[in-house]
Amino acid sequence: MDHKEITGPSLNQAVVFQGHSLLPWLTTYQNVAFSVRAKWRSWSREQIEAHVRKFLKLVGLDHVADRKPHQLSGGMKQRVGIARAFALDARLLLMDEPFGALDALTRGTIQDELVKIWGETRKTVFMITHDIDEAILLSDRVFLMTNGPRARIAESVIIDLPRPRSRADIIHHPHYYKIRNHLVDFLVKRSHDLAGTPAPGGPLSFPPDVNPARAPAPAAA
Amino acid sequence: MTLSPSTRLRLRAAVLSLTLFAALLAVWYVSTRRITSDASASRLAPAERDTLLAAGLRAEDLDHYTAAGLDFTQLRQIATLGLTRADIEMAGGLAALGITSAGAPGKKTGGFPTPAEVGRRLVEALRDPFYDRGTNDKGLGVNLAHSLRRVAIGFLAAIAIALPVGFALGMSPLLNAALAPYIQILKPISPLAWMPLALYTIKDAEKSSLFVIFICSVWPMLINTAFGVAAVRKDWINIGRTLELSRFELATRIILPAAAPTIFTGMRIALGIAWLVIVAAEMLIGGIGMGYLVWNEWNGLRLDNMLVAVLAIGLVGLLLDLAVARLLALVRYQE
Repeated sequence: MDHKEITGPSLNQAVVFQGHSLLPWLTTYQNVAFSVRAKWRSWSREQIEAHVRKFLKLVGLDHVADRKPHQLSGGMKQRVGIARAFALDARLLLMDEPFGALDALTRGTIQDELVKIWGETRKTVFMITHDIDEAILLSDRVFLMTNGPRARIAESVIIDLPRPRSRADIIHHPHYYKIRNHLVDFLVKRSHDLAGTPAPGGPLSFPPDVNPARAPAPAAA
Repeated sequence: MTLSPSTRLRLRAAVLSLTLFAALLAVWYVSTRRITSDASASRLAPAERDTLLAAGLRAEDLDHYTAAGLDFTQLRQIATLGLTRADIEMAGGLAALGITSAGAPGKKTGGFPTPAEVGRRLVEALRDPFYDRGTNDKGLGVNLAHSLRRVAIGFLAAIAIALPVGFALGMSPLLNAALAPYIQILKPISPLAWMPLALYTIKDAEKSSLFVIFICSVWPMLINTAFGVAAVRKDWINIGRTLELSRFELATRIILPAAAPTIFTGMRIALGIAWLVIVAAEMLIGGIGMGYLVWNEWNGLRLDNMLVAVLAIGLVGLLLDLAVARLLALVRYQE
Protein backbone atom coordinates (compact mmCIF):
# COMPACT_ATOMS: atom_id res chain seq x y z
CA MET A 1 0.00 0.00 0.00
CA ASP A 2 1.34 3.43 -0.94
CA HIS A 3 4.27 1.52 -2.48
CA LYS A 4 5.13 0.05 0.91
CA GLU A 5 5.03 -3.57 1.93
CA ILE A 6 2.51 -4.48 4.63
CA THR A 7 4.37 -6.64 7.12
CA GLY A 8 1.93 -7.15 9.98
CA PRO A 9 -1.32 -6.15 11.63
CA SER A 10 -1.70 -2.45 12.34
CA LEU A 11 -4.26 0.31 12.62
CA ASN A 12 -3.65 1.18 8.95
CA GLN A 13 -5.65 -1.85 7.93
CA ALA A 14 -8.99 -2.75 9.42
CA VAL A 15 -9.90 -6.42 9.43
CA VAL A 16 -13.26 -8.17 9.22
CA PHE A 17 -12.65 -11.69 10.46
CA GLN A 18 -14.07 -14.94 9.19
CA GLY A 19 -15.93 -15.61 12.42
CA HIS A 20 -17.55 -12.45 13.69
CA SER A 21 -14.86 -12.10 16.41
CA LEU A 22 -16.81 -9.74 18.60
CA LEU A 23 -15.81 -9.56 22.26
CA PRO A 24 -18.71 -11.40 23.95
CA TRP A 25 -18.54 -9.49 27.24
CA LEU A 26 -19.06 -6.13 25.50
CA THR A 27 -22.26 -4.77 23.97
CA THR A 28 -22.58 -3.93 20.29
CA TYR A 29 -21.81 -0.30 21.07
CA GLN A 30 -18.84 -1.15 23.30
CA ASN A 31 -17.39 -3.49 20.67
CA VAL A 32 -17.23 -0.71 18.11
CA ALA A 33 -16.16 1.87 20.70
CA PHE A 34 -13.34 -0.44 21.82
CA SER A 35 -11.67 -0.10 18.41
CA VAL A 36 -12.43 3.59 18.04
CA ARG A 37 -10.89 4.34 21.43
CA ALA A 38 -7.78 2.32 20.54
CA LYS A 39 -7.27 4.36 17.38
CA TRP A 40 -8.07 7.88 18.59
CA ARG A 41 -6.76 7.86 22.14
CA SER A 42 -7.25 11.56 22.82
CA TRP A 43 -10.91 11.61 21.82
CA SER A 44 -13.53 12.64 24.36
CA ARG A 45 -16.43 10.39 25.29
CA GLU A 46 -18.78 12.51 23.15
CA GLN A 47 -16.54 12.30 20.08
CA ILE A 48 -16.35 8.54 20.41
CA GLU A 49 -20.09 8.24 20.94
CA ALA A 50 -20.88 10.32 17.85
CA HIS A 51 -18.44 8.31 15.71
CA VAL A 52 -19.70 4.92 16.91
CA ARG A 53 -23.38 5.88 16.48
CA LYS A 54 -22.68 7.04 12.92
CA PHE A 55 -21.28 3.69 11.87
CA LEU A 56 -23.90 1.66 13.77
CA LYS A 57 -26.55 3.62 11.85
CA LEU A 58 -24.69 2.93 8.63
CA VAL A 59 -25.13 -0.83 9.12
CA GLY A 60 -28.63 -0.33 10.55
CA LEU A 61 -27.85 -1.61 14.03
CA ASP A 62 -28.34 1.51 16.13
CA HIS A 63 -31.36 -0.08 17.82
CA VAL A 64 -29.37 -3.05 19.19
CA ALA A 65 -26.46 -0.98 20.51
CA ASP A 66 -26.93 -2.24 24.06
CA ARG A 67 -27.26 -5.94 23.25
CA LYS A 68 -24.49 -8.45 23.79
CA PRO A 69 -23.29 -10.47 20.77
CA HIS A 70 -25.06 -13.66 21.88
CA GLN A 71 -28.37 -11.79 21.62
CA LEU A 72 -27.73 -10.98 17.94
CA SER A 73 -28.31 -13.09 14.84
CA GLY A 74 -25.35 -14.26 12.75
CA GLY A 75 -25.97 -11.57 10.14
CA MET A 76 -26.19 -8.84 12.77
CA LYS A 77 -22.93 -9.95 14.35
CA GLN A 78 -21.16 -9.80 11.01
CA ARG A 79 -22.61 -6.32 10.42
CA VAL A 80 -21.23 -5.20 13.78
CA GLY A 81 -17.86 -6.54 12.63
CA ILE A 82 -18.19 -4.51 9.43
CA ALA A 83 -19.20 -1.37 11.36
CA ARG A 84 -16.21 -1.87 13.63
CA ALA A 85 -13.85 -2.18 10.66
CA PHE A 86 -15.23 0.84 8.79
CA ALA A 87 -15.30 2.94 11.97
CA LEU A 88 -11.50 2.63 12.15
CA ASP A 89 -11.38 4.78 9.00
CA ALA A 90 -8.39 2.77 7.76
CA ARG A 91 -7.11 3.19 4.19
CA LEU A 92 -7.42 -0.52 3.54
CA LEU A 93 -10.05 -2.99 4.69
CA LEU A 94 -9.22 -6.69 4.78
CA MET A 95 -12.15 -9.09 4.76
CA ASP A 96 -11.46 -12.78 5.21
CA GLU A 97 -14.50 -14.66 3.90
CA PRO A 98 -16.72 -12.39 5.96
CA PHE A 99 -20.04 -13.85 4.80
CA GLY A 100 -19.02 -17.51 4.68
CA ALA A 101 -21.14 -18.53 7.65
CA LEU A 102 -24.33 -16.72 6.61
CA ASP A 103 -27.36 -18.05 4.77
CA ALA A 104 -27.88 -16.92 1.17
CA LEU A 105 -30.64 -14.41 1.95
CA THR A 106 -28.76 -12.60 4.74
CA ARG A 107 -25.66 -12.73 2.64
CA GLY A 108 -27.36 -10.83 -0.17
CA THR A 109 -28.61 -8.12 2.17
CA ILE A 110 -25.22 -7.60 3.75
CA GLN A 111 -23.49 -7.54 0.37
CA ASP A 112 -25.81 -4.70 -0.65
CA GLU A 113 -25.02 -2.91 2.60
CA LEU A 114 -21.31 -3.38 2.11
CA VAL A 115 -21.54 -1.79 -1.37
CA LYS A 116 -23.53 1.09 0.09
CA ILE A 117 -21.01 1.77 2.89
CA TRP A 118 -18.15 1.35 0.47
CA GLY A 119 -19.80 3.90 -1.81
CA GLU A 120 -20.04 6.39 1.05
CA THR A 121 -16.53 5.91 2.39
CA ARG A 122 -14.57 4.96 -0.76
CA LYS A 123 -12.01 2.80 1.04
CA THR A 124 -9.93 0.12 -0.63
CA VAL A 125 -11.47 -3.19 0.30
CA PHE A 126 -9.58 -6.44 -0.11
CA MET A 127 -11.86 -9.41 0.30
CA ILE A 128 -11.14 -13.12 0.24
CA THR A 129 -14.04 -15.22 -1.01
CA HIS A 130 -14.93 -18.54 -2.61
CA ASP A 131 -18.17 -17.22 -4.00
CA ILE A 132 -17.81 -16.32 -7.70
CA ASP A 133 -21.05 -14.34 -7.92
CA GLU A 134 -20.12 -12.39 -4.82
CA ALA A 135 -16.75 -11.56 -6.37
CA ILE A 136 -18.31 -10.32 -9.62
CA LEU A 137 -21.01 -8.33 -7.86
CA LEU A 138 -18.69 -6.53 -5.48
CA SER A 139 -15.30 -6.13 -7.06
CA ASP A 140 -13.41 -4.07 -9.61
CA ARG A 141 -10.68 -6.64 -9.85
CA VAL A 142 -10.44 -10.33 -8.97
CA PHE A 143 -7.10 -11.91 -8.15
CA LEU A 144 -7.16 -15.61 -8.91
CA MET A 145 -5.00 -17.90 -6.81
CA THR A 146 -3.64 -21.25 -7.90
CA ASN A 147 -3.95 -24.33 -5.75
CA GLY A 148 -1.24 -25.05 -3.19
CA PRO A 149 1.48 -25.98 -2.49
CA ARG A 150 3.24 -22.69 -3.19
CA ALA A 151 0.02 -21.02 -4.23
CA ARG A 152 0.46 -17.80 -6.15
CA ILE A 153 -1.72 -15.17 -7.80
CA ALA A 154 -2.00 -16.22 -11.40
CA GLU A 155 -4.22 -13.52 -12.87
CA SER A 156 -5.75 -10.18 -12.12
CA VAL A 157 -9.18 -10.19 -13.74
CA ILE A 158 -10.72 -6.79 -14.40
CA ILE A 159 -14.45 -6.55 -13.75
CA ASP A 160 -15.71 -3.45 -15.59
CA LEU A 161 -19.43 -3.95 -15.27
CA PRO A 162 -21.08 -0.54 -14.74
CA ARG A 163 -21.93 0.59 -11.21
CA PRO A 164 -24.20 0.75 -9.34
CA ARG A 165 -24.72 -2.96 -9.77
CA SER A 166 -27.67 -4.90 -8.43
CA ARG A 167 -27.91 -8.63 -8.08
CA ALA A 168 -31.09 -8.74 -10.14
CA ASP A 169 -29.83 -6.74 -13.14
CA ILE A 170 -26.19 -7.73 -13.27
CA ILE A 171 -26.88 -11.24 -14.55
CA HIS A 172 -28.52 -9.81 -17.67
CA HIS A 173 -25.49 -7.78 -18.60
CA PRO A 174 -23.88 -9.21 -21.80
CA HIS A 175 -20.44 -9.41 -20.14
CA TYR A 176 -21.60 -11.15 -16.97
CA TYR A 177 -21.37 -14.73 -18.21
CA LYS A 178 -18.16 -14.12 -20.09
CA ILE A 179 -16.55 -13.10 -16.83
CA ARG A 180 -18.24 -15.80 -14.82
CA ASN A 181 -17.25 -18.54 -17.27
CA HIS A 182 -13.67 -17.33 -17.18
CA LEU A 183 -13.59 -17.48 -13.38
CA VAL A 184 -15.28 -20.88 -13.19
CA ASP A 185 -12.96 -22.25 -15.82
CA PHE A 186 -10.00 -21.06 -13.80
CA LEU A 187 -11.24 -22.52 -10.53
CA VAL A 188 -12.26 -25.87 -11.97
CA LYS A 189 -9.36 -26.50 -14.34
CA ARG A 190 -6.49 -24.09 -14.51
CA SER A 191 -5.93 -23.42 -10.80
CA HIS A 192 -5.15 -27.12 -10.55
CA ASP A 193 -2.94 -27.23 -13.67
CA LEU A 194 -0.98 -24.17 -12.58
CA ALA A 195 -0.37 -25.44 -9.03
CA GLY A 196 3.32 -25.38 -8.19
CA THR A 197 4.39 -23.73 -11.45
CA PRO A 198 6.53 -20.61 -11.07
CA ALA A 199 5.16 -17.22 -12.07
CA PRO A 200 6.16 -16.45 -15.69
CA GLY A 201 7.66 -13.07 -14.81
CA GLY A 202 9.53 -14.19 -11.68
CA PRO A 203 8.30 -14.43 -8.08
CA LEU A 204 7.86 -10.67 -7.53
CA SER A 205 6.15 -9.79 -10.79
CA PHE A 206 2.63 -8.36 -10.87
CA PRO A 207 0.10 -10.87 -12.26
CA PRO A 208 -1.07 -10.18 -15.82
CA ASP A 209 -4.28 -8.18 -16.28
CA VAL A 210 -7.06 -10.07 -18.00
CA ASN A 211 -10.39 -8.71 -19.19
CA PRO A 212 -12.59 -11.60 -20.29
CA ALA A 213 -15.28 -9.24 -21.54
CA ARG A 214 -13.06 -7.57 -24.19
CA ALA A 215 -10.53 -10.08 -25.41
CA PRO A 216 -10.97 -13.82 -25.63
CA ALA A 217 -9.45 -15.38 -22.53
CA PRO A 218 -6.25 -17.34 -23.03
CA ALA A 219 -7.83 -20.52 -21.77
CA ALA A 220 -10.75 -20.23 -24.19
CA ALA A 221 -8.40 -19.94 -27.16
CA MET B 1 -53.61 -21.60 38.70
CA THR B 2 -50.94 -22.14 36.11
CA LEU B 3 -47.27 -22.19 36.97
CA SER B 4 -44.30 -22.42 34.66
CA PRO B 5 -42.49 -25.79 34.75
CA SER B 6 -39.41 -24.26 36.39
CA THR B 7 -41.48 -22.62 39.14
CA ARG B 8 -43.31 -25.90 39.73
CA LEU B 9 -40.01 -27.74 40.01
CA ARG B 10 -38.68 -25.22 42.54
CA LEU B 11 -41.87 -25.40 44.52
CA ARG B 12 -41.75 -29.19 44.65
CA ALA B 13 -38.08 -29.11 45.60
CA ALA B 14 -38.85 -26.70 48.44
CA VAL B 15 -41.62 -28.95 49.74
CA LEU B 16 -39.32 -31.99 49.58
CA SER B 17 -36.56 -30.04 51.35
CA LEU B 18 -38.86 -29.00 54.17
CA THR B 19 -40.19 -32.57 54.50
CA LEU B 20 -36.65 -33.92 54.79
CA PHE B 21 -35.85 -31.26 57.39
CA ALA B 22 -38.94 -32.15 59.39
CA ALA B 23 -38.04 -35.85 59.19
CA LEU B 24 -34.51 -35.09 60.38
CA LEU B 25 -35.83 -33.10 63.33
CA ALA B 26 -38.29 -35.86 64.17
CA VAL B 27 -35.61 -38.56 64.17
CA TRP B 28 -33.33 -36.33 66.18
CA TYR B 29 -36.10 -35.56 68.67
CA VAL B 30 -37.19 -39.15 69.10
CA SER B 31 -33.68 -40.53 69.54
CA THR B 32 -32.58 -37.88 72.06
CA ARG B 33 -35.83 -37.82 74.03
CA ARG B 34 -35.50 -41.49 75.00
CA ILE B 35 -32.03 -40.98 76.40
CA THR B 36 -32.87 -37.97 78.53
CA SER B 37 -36.01 -39.54 79.91
CA ASP B 38 -34.77 -42.87 81.22
CA ALA B 39 -31.01 -42.81 81.23
CA SER B 40 -29.82 -39.90 83.27
CA ALA B 41 -31.21 -37.29 85.65
CA SER B 42 -30.49 -38.84 88.98
CA ARG B 43 -32.82 -37.84 91.78
CA LEU B 44 -31.56 -36.44 95.04
CA ALA B 45 -33.41 -36.53 98.26
CA PRO B 46 -34.09 -33.03 99.68
CA ALA B 47 -31.76 -33.81 102.58
CA GLU B 48 -28.91 -34.80 100.25
CA ARG B 49 -29.46 -31.63 98.31
CA ASP B 50 -29.23 -29.51 101.42
CA THR B 51 -26.02 -31.25 102.49
CA LEU B 52 -24.40 -30.49 99.12
CA LEU B 53 -25.47 -26.89 99.15
CA ALA B 54 -24.14 -26.54 102.65
CA ALA B 55 -20.84 -28.03 101.47
CA GLY B 56 -20.47 -25.10 99.11
CA LEU B 57 -21.81 -26.45 95.80
CA ARG B 58 -23.64 -23.76 93.86
CA ALA B 59 -27.31 -24.47 93.26
CA GLU B 60 -27.10 -23.99 89.48
CA ASP B 61 -24.09 -26.34 89.25
CA LEU B 62 -25.94 -28.86 91.36
CA ASP B 63 -28.92 -28.82 89.00
CA HIS B 64 -26.67 -29.11 85.98
CA TYR B 65 -24.78 -32.13 87.27
CA THR B 66 -27.87 -33.86 88.58
CA ALA B 67 -29.38 -33.51 85.14
CA ALA B 68 -26.17 -34.97 83.69
CA GLY B 69 -26.70 -38.05 85.90
CA LEU B 70 -24.20 -37.64 88.74
CA ASP B 71 -25.14 -39.26 92.01
CA PHE B 72 -24.79 -38.00 95.57
CA THR B 73 -21.28 -39.41 96.21
CA GLN B 74 -19.86 -37.87 93.09
CA LEU B 75 -21.49 -34.55 93.82
CA ARG B 76 -20.03 -34.58 97.30
CA GLN B 77 -16.58 -35.14 95.76
CA ILE B 78 -17.01 -32.02 93.65
CA ALA B 79 -18.27 -30.08 96.64
CA THR B 80 -15.23 -31.17 98.68
CA LEU B 81 -12.87 -30.02 95.91
CA GLY B 82 -14.57 -26.63 96.13
CA LEU B 83 -14.77 -26.29 92.36
CA THR B 84 -17.40 -24.42 90.38
CA ARG B 85 -18.66 -25.77 87.05
CA ALA B 86 -16.62 -23.17 85.17
CA ASP B 87 -13.44 -24.34 86.96
CA ILE B 88 -14.13 -27.95 86.09
CA GLU B 89 -14.73 -27.22 82.45
CA MET B 90 -11.60 -25.11 82.27
CA ALA B 91 -9.71 -28.09 83.64
CA GLY B 92 -11.04 -30.28 80.85
CA GLY B 93 -14.42 -31.42 82.15
CA LEU B 94 -15.54 -34.02 84.67
CA ALA B 95 -13.58 -36.83 83.05
CA ALA B 96 -10.35 -34.98 83.82
CA LEU B 97 -11.20 -35.14 87.53
CA GLY B 98 -11.80 -38.87 87.36
CA ILE B 99 -15.52 -38.47 87.80
CA THR B 100 -17.78 -40.23 85.37
CA SER B 101 -21.51 -40.00 85.52
CA ALA B 102 -23.19 -43.14 86.76
CA GLY B 103 -25.73 -44.16 84.23
CA ALA B 104 -26.77 -47.75 83.76
CA PRO B 105 -24.02 -49.66 81.90
CA GLY B 106 -24.21 -49.37 78.11
CA LYS B 107 -26.53 -46.40 78.25
CA LYS B 108 -25.55 -42.97 77.15
CA THR B 109 -25.84 -40.50 79.96
CA GLY B 110 -24.24 -37.19 79.03
CA GLY B 111 -27.02 -37.01 76.57
CA PHE B 112 -27.03 -35.82 73.02
CA PRO B 113 -28.88 -32.49 73.11
CA THR B 114 -32.43 -32.38 71.84
CA PRO B 115 -33.38 -30.13 68.92
CA ALA B 116 -35.07 -27.78 71.38
CA GLU B 117 -31.91 -27.43 73.47
CA VAL B 118 -29.80 -26.68 70.43
CA GLY B 119 -32.43 -24.23 69.21
CA ARG B 120 -32.40 -22.46 72.56
CA ARG B 121 -28.59 -22.27 72.47
CA LEU B 122 -28.71 -20.89 68.95
CA VAL B 123 -31.08 -18.12 70.00
CA GLU B 124 -28.86 -17.33 72.99
CA ALA B 125 -25.76 -17.23 70.82
CA LEU B 126 -27.44 -14.95 68.30
CA ARG B 127 -28.85 -12.67 70.97
CA ASP B 128 -25.39 -11.85 72.30
CA PRO B 129 -22.84 -12.89 69.69
CA PHE B 130 -19.99 -10.62 70.78
CA TYR B 131 -19.67 -11.19 74.50
CA ASP B 132 -16.21 -11.82 75.92
CA ARG B 133 -15.87 -13.53 79.32
CA GLY B 134 -12.25 -14.53 79.30
CA THR B 135 -10.02 -16.75 77.23
CA ASN B 136 -12.29 -19.73 76.73
CA ASP B 137 -15.65 -18.06 76.78
CA LYS B 138 -16.20 -15.75 73.87
CA GLY B 139 -19.31 -15.20 71.76
CA LEU B 140 -20.04 -16.93 68.47
CA GLY B 141 -19.61 -13.65 66.61
CA VAL B 142 -16.15 -13.04 68.09
CA ASN B 143 -14.99 -16.49 67.02
CA LEU B 144 -16.54 -16.13 63.58
CA ALA B 145 -14.88 -12.76 63.11
CA HIS B 146 -11.45 -14.20 63.89
CA SER B 147 -11.91 -17.13 61.50
CA LEU B 148 -13.14 -14.80 58.76
CA ARG B 149 -10.24 -12.44 59.34
CA ARG B 150 -7.72 -15.27 58.97
CA VAL B 151 -9.39 -16.55 55.82
CA ALA B 152 -9.52 -13.04 54.37
CA ILE B 153 -5.82 -12.36 54.94
CA GLY B 154 -4.62 -15.74 53.66
CA PHE B 155 -7.00 -15.59 50.72
CA LEU B 156 -6.02 -12.06 49.65
CA ALA B 157 -2.35 -13.02 49.86
CA ALA B 158 -3.11 -16.01 47.65
CA ILE B 159 -4.85 -13.76 45.11
CA ALA B 160 -1.86 -11.42 45.09
CA ILE B 161 0.45 -14.30 44.16
CA ALA B 162 -1.84 -16.54 42.08
CA LEU B 163 -3.13 -13.89 39.66
CA PRO B 164 0.22 -12.58 38.31
CA VAL B 165 1.89 -16.00 38.36
CA GLY B 166 -1.17 -17.59 36.77
CA PHE B 167 -1.12 -14.93 34.05
CA ALA B 168 2.55 -15.62 33.37
CA LEU B 169 1.92 -19.37 33.20
CA GLY B 170 -1.07 -18.89 30.92
CA MET B 171 0.78 -16.64 28.51
CA SER B 172 3.99 -18.66 28.39
CA PRO B 173 3.72 -22.34 27.43
CA LEU B 174 7.39 -22.69 28.41
CA LEU B 175 6.84 -21.53 32.00
CA ASN B 176 3.67 -23.54 32.20
CA ALA B 177 5.39 -26.77 31.23
CA ALA B 178 8.41 -26.04 33.44
CA LEU B 179 6.37 -25.36 36.59
CA ALA B 180 3.69 -27.99 36.02
CA PRO B 181 5.53 -30.78 37.93
CA TYR B 182 5.96 -28.57 41.02
CA ILE B 183 2.33 -27.55 41.01
CA GLN B 184 1.18 -31.12 40.46
CA ILE B 185 3.23 -32.36 43.42
CA LEU B 186 2.51 -29.48 45.81
CA LYS B 187 -1.20 -29.25 45.05
CA PRO B 188 -2.34 -32.59 46.52
CA ILE B 189 -0.52 -32.03 49.84
CA SER B 190 -3.05 -31.50 52.59
CA PRO B 191 -2.75 -27.90 53.74
CA LEU B 192 -2.50 -29.10 57.34
CA ALA B 193 0.60 -31.10 56.46
CA TRP B 194 2.31 -27.73 56.05
CA MET B 195 1.41 -26.78 59.61
CA PRO B 196 4.47 -28.25 61.39
CA LEU B 197 6.79 -26.77 58.80
CA ALA B 198 5.09 -23.41 59.14
CA LEU B 199 5.22 -23.52 62.92
CA TYR B 200 8.93 -24.40 62.81
CA THR B 201 9.93 -21.70 60.32
CA ILE B 202 7.52 -18.91 61.25
CA LYS B 203 7.48 -19.71 64.99
CA ASP B 204 4.06 -18.12 65.39
CA ALA B 205 0.77 -20.00 65.54
CA GLU B 206 -1.30 -17.12 64.20
CA LYS B 207 0.93 -16.50 61.17
CA SER B 208 1.17 -20.24 60.55
CA SER B 209 -2.60 -20.46 60.27
CA LEU B 210 -2.53 -17.60 57.75
CA PHE B 211 0.11 -19.46 55.78
CA VAL B 212 -1.98 -22.62 55.74
CA ILE B 213 -4.94 -20.66 54.36
CA PHE B 214 -2.66 -19.06 51.78
CA ILE B 215 -1.20 -22.37 50.62
CA CYS B 216 -4.56 -24.11 50.31
CA SER B 217 -6.22 -21.34 48.31
CA VAL B 218 -3.30 -20.56 46.03
CA TRP B 219 -3.44 -23.76 43.91
CA PRO B 220 -7.00 -23.64 42.58
CA MET B 221 -6.60 -19.96 41.73
CA LEU B 222 -3.21 -20.47 40.11
CA ILE B 223 -4.37 -23.38 37.99
CA ASN B 224 -7.63 -21.75 36.94
CA THR B 225 -5.97 -18.44 36.10
CA ALA B 226 -3.31 -20.17 33.99
CA PHE B 227 -5.94 -22.25 32.23
CA GLY B 228 -8.29 -19.32 31.67
CA VAL B 229 -5.54 -17.14 30.25
CA ALA B 230 -4.20 -19.89 27.99
CA ALA B 231 -7.67 -20.68 26.67
CA VAL B 232 -8.51 -17.14 25.51
CA ARG B 233 -9.68 -17.39 21.90
CA LYS B 234 -7.05 -16.51 19.31
CA ASP B 235 -9.59 -14.30 17.49
CA TRP B 236 -9.89 -11.98 20.48
CA ILE B 237 -6.13 -11.66 20.78
CA ASN B 238 -6.01 -10.90 17.06
CA ILE B 239 -8.44 -8.03 17.56
CA GLY B 240 -5.97 -6.58 20.05
CA ARG B 241 -3.12 -7.06 17.60
CA THR B 242 -4.86 -5.27 14.74
CA LEU B 243 -5.64 -2.39 17.12
CA GLU B 244 -1.95 -2.16 18.08
CA LEU B 245 -2.71 -2.55 21.79
CA SER B 246 0.29 -2.65 24.11
CA ARG B 247 1.02 -5.89 25.96
CA PHE B 248 -0.40 -4.37 29.14
CA GLU B 249 -3.60 -3.28 27.37
CA LEU B 250 -3.92 -6.68 25.74
CA ALA B 251 -3.67 -8.29 29.19
CA THR B 252 -6.10 -5.96 30.97
CA ARG B 253 -8.60 -5.14 28.23
CA ILE B 254 -8.90 -8.47 26.44
CA ILE B 255 -7.28 -11.39 28.30
CA LEU B 256 -8.50 -10.41 31.78
CA PRO B 257 -12.19 -10.05 30.90
CA ALA B 258 -12.01 -13.12 28.68
CA ALA B 259 -10.48 -15.25 31.45
CA ALA B 260 -12.41 -13.64 34.32
CA PRO B 261 -15.12 -16.31 34.62
CA THR B 262 -12.50 -19.07 34.89
CA ILE B 263 -10.45 -17.02 37.36
CA PHE B 264 -13.48 -16.35 39.56
CA THR B 265 -14.43 -20.01 39.46
CA GLY B 266 -10.94 -20.74 40.80
CA MET B 267 -11.54 -18.18 43.57
CA ARG B 268 -14.82 -19.81 44.43
CA ILE B 269 -13.19 -23.22 44.78
CA ALA B 270 -10.30 -21.71 46.76
CA LEU B 271 -12.57 -19.89 49.20
CA GLY B 272 -14.55 -23.09 49.81
CA ILE B 273 -11.35 -24.97 50.61
CA ALA B 274 -10.04 -22.13 52.80
CA TRP B 275 -13.19 -22.22 54.90
CA LEU B 276 -12.85 -25.99 55.32
CA VAL B 277 -9.20 -25.69 56.30
CA ILE B 278 -9.46 -22.79 58.76
CA VAL B 279 -11.64 -24.88 61.11
CA ALA B 280 -9.11 -27.71 61.16
CA ALA B 281 -6.18 -25.29 61.49
CA GLU B 282 -7.80 -23.54 64.45
CA MET B 283 -8.29 -26.85 66.20
CA LEU B 284 -4.51 -27.23 66.01
CA ILE B 285 -3.41 -23.73 66.92
CA GLY B 286 -6.07 -23.08 69.54
CA GLY B 287 -6.78 -19.70 71.07
CA ILE B 288 -9.78 -18.43 69.19
CA GLY B 289 -11.82 -19.04 66.06
CA MET B 290 -14.58 -21.40 64.97
CA GLY B 291 -12.34 -24.47 64.90
CA TYR B 292 -11.16 -23.78 68.42
CA LEU B 293 -14.73 -23.08 69.55
CA VAL B 294 -15.90 -26.48 68.28
CA TRP B 295 -12.97 -28.25 69.93
CA ASN B 296 -13.36 -26.36 73.19
CA GLU B 297 -17.08 -27.11 73.44
CA TRP B 298 -16.35 -30.74 72.72
CA ASN B 299 -13.75 -30.86 75.49
CA GLY B 300 -16.29 -29.38 77.89
CA LEU B 301 -18.88 -31.86 76.57
CA ARG B 302 -21.19 -28.97 75.75
CA LEU B 303 -22.56 -30.69 72.71
CA ASP B 304 -25.39 -28.20 72.30
CA ASN B 305 -22.93 -25.31 71.96
CA MET B 306 -20.79 -27.41 69.68
CA LEU B 307 -23.70 -28.11 67.37
CA VAL B 308 -24.54 -24.41 67.21
CA ALA B 309 -20.92 -23.72 66.20
CA VAL B 310 -21.01 -26.45 63.54
CA LEU B 311 -24.24 -25.04 62.15
CA ALA B 312 -22.75 -21.55 62.07
CA ILE B 313 -19.72 -22.84 60.14
CA GLY B 314 -22.03 -24.32 57.54
CA LEU B 315 -24.15 -21.19 57.19
CA VAL B 316 -21.18 -18.84 56.90
CA GLY B 317 -19.59 -21.15 54.32
CA LEU B 318 -22.80 -20.95 52.31
CA LEU B 319 -22.85 -17.15 52.50
CA LEU B 320 -19.22 -16.93 51.38
CA ASP B 321 -19.96 -19.14 48.40
CA LEU B 322 -23.02 -17.09 47.46
CA ALA B 323 -20.97 -13.90 47.63
CA VAL B 324 -18.37 -15.19 45.18
CA ALA B 325 -21.11 -16.64 42.97
CA ARG B 326 -22.59 -13.14 42.78
CA LEU B 327 -19.24 -11.74 41.63
CA LEU B 328 -18.89 -14.57 39.15
CA ALA B 329 -22.27 -13.74 37.62
CA LEU B 330 -21.06 -10.17 37.04
CA VAL B 331 -18.08 -11.20 34.92
CA ARG B 332 -19.65 -14.19 33.17
CA TYR B 333 -20.42 -13.85 29.48
CA GLN B 334 -22.13 -15.98 26.90
CA GLU B 335 -20.49 -16.74 23.58
